Amino acid sequence: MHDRDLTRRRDFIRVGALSSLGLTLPRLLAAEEHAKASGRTESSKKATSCILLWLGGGPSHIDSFDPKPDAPAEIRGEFKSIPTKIPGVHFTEHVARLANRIDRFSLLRSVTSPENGHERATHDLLSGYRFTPALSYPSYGSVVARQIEEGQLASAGDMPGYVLLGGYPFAYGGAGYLGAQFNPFGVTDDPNAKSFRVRDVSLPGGSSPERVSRRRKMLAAVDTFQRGVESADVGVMDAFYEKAYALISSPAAKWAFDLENEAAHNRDRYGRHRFGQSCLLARRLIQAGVRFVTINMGGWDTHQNNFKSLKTKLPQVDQGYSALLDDLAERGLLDSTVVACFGEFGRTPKVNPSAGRDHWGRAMSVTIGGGGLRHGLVIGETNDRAEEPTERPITVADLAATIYHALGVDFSEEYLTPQNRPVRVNYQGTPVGELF
Amino acid sequence: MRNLTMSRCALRLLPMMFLASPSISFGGESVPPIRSLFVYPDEVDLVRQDAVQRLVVWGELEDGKFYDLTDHDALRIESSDPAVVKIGRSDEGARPAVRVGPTLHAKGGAAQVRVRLGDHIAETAVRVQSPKGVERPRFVHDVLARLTHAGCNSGSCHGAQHGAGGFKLSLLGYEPDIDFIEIARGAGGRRVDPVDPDRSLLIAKPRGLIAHEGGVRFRENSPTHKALRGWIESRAPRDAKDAPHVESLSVFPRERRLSLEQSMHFIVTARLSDGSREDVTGRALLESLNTGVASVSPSARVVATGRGETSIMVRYQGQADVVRVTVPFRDFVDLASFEPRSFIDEHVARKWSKLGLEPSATCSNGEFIRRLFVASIGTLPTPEETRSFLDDPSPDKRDRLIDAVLERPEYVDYWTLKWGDLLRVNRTNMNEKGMWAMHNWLRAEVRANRPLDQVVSRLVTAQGSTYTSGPTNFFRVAQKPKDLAETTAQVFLGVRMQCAQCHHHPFEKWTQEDYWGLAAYFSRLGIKSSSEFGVYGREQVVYVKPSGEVRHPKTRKVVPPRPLGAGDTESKPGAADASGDRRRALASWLTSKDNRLFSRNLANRFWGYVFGIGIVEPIDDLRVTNPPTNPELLDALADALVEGRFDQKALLRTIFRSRVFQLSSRTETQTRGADFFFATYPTRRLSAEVLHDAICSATQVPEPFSGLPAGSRAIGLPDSNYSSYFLQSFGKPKRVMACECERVSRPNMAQALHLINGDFIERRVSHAKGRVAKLLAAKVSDEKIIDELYLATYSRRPIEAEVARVRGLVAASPSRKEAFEDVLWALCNSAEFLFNH
Repeated sequence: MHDRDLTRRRDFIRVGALSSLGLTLPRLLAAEEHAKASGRTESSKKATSCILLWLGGGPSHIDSFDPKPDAPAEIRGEFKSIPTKIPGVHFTEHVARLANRIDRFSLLRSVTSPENGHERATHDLLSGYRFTPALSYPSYGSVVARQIEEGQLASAGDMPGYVLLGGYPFAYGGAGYLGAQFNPFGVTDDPNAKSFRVRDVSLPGGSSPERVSRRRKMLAAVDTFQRGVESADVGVMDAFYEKAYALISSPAAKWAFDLENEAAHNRDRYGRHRFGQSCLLARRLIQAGVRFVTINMGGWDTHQNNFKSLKTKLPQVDQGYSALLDDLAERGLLDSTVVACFGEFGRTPKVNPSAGRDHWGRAMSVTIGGGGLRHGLVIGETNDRAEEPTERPITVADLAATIYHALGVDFSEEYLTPQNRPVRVNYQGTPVGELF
Repeated sequence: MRNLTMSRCALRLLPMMFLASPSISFGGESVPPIRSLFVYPDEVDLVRQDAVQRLVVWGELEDGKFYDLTDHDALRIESSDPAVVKIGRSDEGARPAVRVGPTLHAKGGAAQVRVRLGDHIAETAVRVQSPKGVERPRFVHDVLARLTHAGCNSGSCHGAQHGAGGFKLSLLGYEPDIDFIEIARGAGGRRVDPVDPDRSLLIAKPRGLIAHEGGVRFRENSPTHKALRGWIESRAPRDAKDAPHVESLSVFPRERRLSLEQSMHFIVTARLSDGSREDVTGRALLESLNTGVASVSPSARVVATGRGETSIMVRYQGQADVVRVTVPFRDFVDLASFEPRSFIDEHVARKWSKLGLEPSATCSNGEFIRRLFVASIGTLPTPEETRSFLDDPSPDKRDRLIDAVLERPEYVDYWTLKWGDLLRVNRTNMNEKGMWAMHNWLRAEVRANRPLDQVVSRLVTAQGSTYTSGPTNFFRVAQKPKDLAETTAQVFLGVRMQCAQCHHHPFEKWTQEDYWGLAAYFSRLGIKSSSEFGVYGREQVVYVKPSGEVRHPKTRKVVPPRPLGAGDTESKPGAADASGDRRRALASWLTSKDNRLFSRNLANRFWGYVFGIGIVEPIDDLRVTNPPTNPELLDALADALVEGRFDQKALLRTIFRSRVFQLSSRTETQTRGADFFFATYPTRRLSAEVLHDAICSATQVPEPFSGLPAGSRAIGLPDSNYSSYFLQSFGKPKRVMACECERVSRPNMAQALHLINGDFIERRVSHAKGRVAKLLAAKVSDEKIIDELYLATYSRRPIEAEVARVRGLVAASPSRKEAFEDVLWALCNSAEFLFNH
């Protein structure tokens, strides 16, 4: 019985599999070749991947993408506004690089949400659903992971479908009611740190590839446990073992996580800070096959010393985000990769006595581009005091629908909650038509 | 078999004749000759002019099986007086039905309806009632029910919290009064246009004549179209105040056995509050719980699509029922070799014979000791314990081991962990001192094997200091009356009430009155701060206030306390007793022997903990529309629990002693789905804490927990506030939700990575004081080491072929140390170790 089992089970643990996987970096090479050959960087095909730059805490829209130079000083704030490539459109001085690249993305100035609390608003902006204590809705990447699992979206190869850099913003950004198997693969360490490594992906200290291979042989020898038709979970565990082995022995993963082999000048271009190097890591992950990367950059809750904080934070975003757009474009990846940047809300137009700005859901700015979306557009407008949209209000559900639509996710699809309640991927959202 | 597939009602019917039995062809398949023919219902009252009563016709064949013949081409149906009762088709156009004949309805009358197939005849008596007054179209039954059937007020359409497209209906029509206003008065009156009914938005939109995001919902002259038009033509009347409402539903047949691809019809009958009955088959919401076994059409035709068992969920006007459909795996199984040892075995075996399942063989002694230890104390046996059990020749050793294991100290750890999860013991809500008070109280109760009714009673009536009275901390987690109602219902009754806070439960009979009636028991509960332990001691005191009520969120009326499921007319325990504490009334109702919700919930939970699959699954979602896979077994277990005075240990002992618990999990020859009927022991991943401790004990390297004494184990942790990547990634619940689903029991990628490549196992197999190091230092043979490592992980000895294979690989390894570390590493990474089986 045992011998028979051995011959037909866990084929993937087979001897020698480690060295003979022969994996390539499919998207990296293919895409770069393609870009060089065609000389094209834009096209209208559907996006296959997405990078979400999450600015947790709520970035000030007035001090970045929606300045009001003619408003009174207590609204205008300390930053100067500068022209962008589009006549009549201004950003503030601390996002000058992005001002020069407005042709690589579009700006939605009229995104609006009724939620002003961090937790609830984070849930909303990361899921497209209004918060309810009864149900936690899945984030975009988890929906993508589920659709990969069900074959509706193309496979991520050896890589996880959804990767989260920097930990969960509150408890959100994960799979919610979809269940833990669709949670992101989390990388919590700082990619800018010298000692950066990814938990459980790099081999533990002292383990040689030979030893890993010997252990795999040993596992095949002792793992004779029946894989009958009944034990579905054993099959699921096997599948995860297979994925885990594929990941740790994958040249693509090894390559993607190893920032050391990125050219120094390119690392510098992204900025030698956590956000910049996270953007770089995100690009490498997308190249290696990951379909959705969320970068969680916190610290935008500037109730005090708004301007002092933003003078540090905005240039980091400006640098990392710009480098990401340039780099993706140079590699022919921008038209297949949506890049979006936002937080849970904007901030109060009126500066408070602590030189800070408070929570403001009624108006916020979202930048989104790549992935075949139309670029160089400024959609929507807020009033003179940046308080609320004067035209073209865009809801949180609309924003989510836009992301899903760009990725080719059928957001009318229904999933069952643990209580067997059918819930649509997106509800009442309409993709922002101008972008398509 | 016959009794199982037919209801009492059907058995009352006698076939009219027994004549020659022509062979009939059915659905292209030749079936044996009919022995007798039946029609349901056997008597019909047609109350309204537009009443339709569908018929179900079936035959008992010579082979003793039943075939649904309702669709049979050769079926002839006649009325003895077509002027009074005419034969037609149901609204859906598919099924034979009787209707009121052209005779003036006011007269009433009666006729016999005769169903003939070949020489076989069956009859039903039909009466047409003369109406009491002028008949008008009904809003609830003709309009709302049709809209529900067309999907208009589903949770993803106009029934959503904020409606859709500016048109908001109550979920599944549970609030007819609100819906009436919205439909008849809303949108500036454009929804209904009595002058030109087809221009009403209510018709034009769902027919697709005007842009409608929800698409076309019904066609011209469909029953729904006619019903809506009729109502609007009559100037969209409101139902009379005393209009009858649905009191209950019944289905016929309640359960049927079908062979693969066979079909059947069923009928849904509503009993109204005026005592009348109405065929509502064409208006009820029908849904198969498992379309892999059976599918159902909107006209209640069921087709067996796969083998196994499922239920068809039937919902109409706030009531719910199910039709059970069994598609046997095999026609006949011989269970003679399975000798039942207890009522458990008897009930489970009865199910197997019905389903055509054969049980797996009895598990080996090695499988038994490991499974028993895991299921009863969450701990692996040591090699010494296993060895002595395996070598014990006495025939009653399994029973003795069961008795022994229930008295071990780990029993207290493990079941305190289970109860701690359920009651959400955690320091975030209770603060550290309160958490320990609750944890230690639970430990004492488990150690004393306190009857579960008493434990629950002590919990829900607890008062006093959260530091000195452990159970008072129950009121720190959920504090508001409504949260306490939800927690109480879910934890102690297995009933998920959350939906009923804001609307009638969509899958249940629970109303908002039920929800707030339960909440009312907690409306006089107070929590205040005390400075007994100093100003910063943060002690809280739970006490009973003299007043406090809950109000219905829609009517704003005070809702008096009432037990779940008690109608308005029943007595209402809960008018506070002399102590003024409503919770005492709750506790006595909750834990009463007659409260089947309580005993069934406990029985199902413990069964689910032991087998990994509940008789009702998920184990904390007991409801009419989520029926048990074996109702008789669940009832018998609940009875045993009640008769045993809610003795947890006795219940577990009964389960462990059953032959069903001791079946092998080997499934090579087993049928897919057999584990849901316990014909084989379900294979499930070890839970986070158990696996954590299993790796520590297999490697003999414990994991320290900060602030706890050395040797503390994961199953003994008082809450989840111990940082452990292992426990977190394997799904130890944070104890934030009262739902069993908070514990992640499914495998995932991070788990696999952590086992293969993480340092948790790595560190332990190579540890200087670990099992491998000790065995090497003892200088014993390779065989001895392999034997020991198998016992420590699999709780069995390796077979010869395994020893040979492992020895071969050990010999090929660069060092003996590395080799045996790799053996233990591999054992800990294998399915036989990671799973309970």
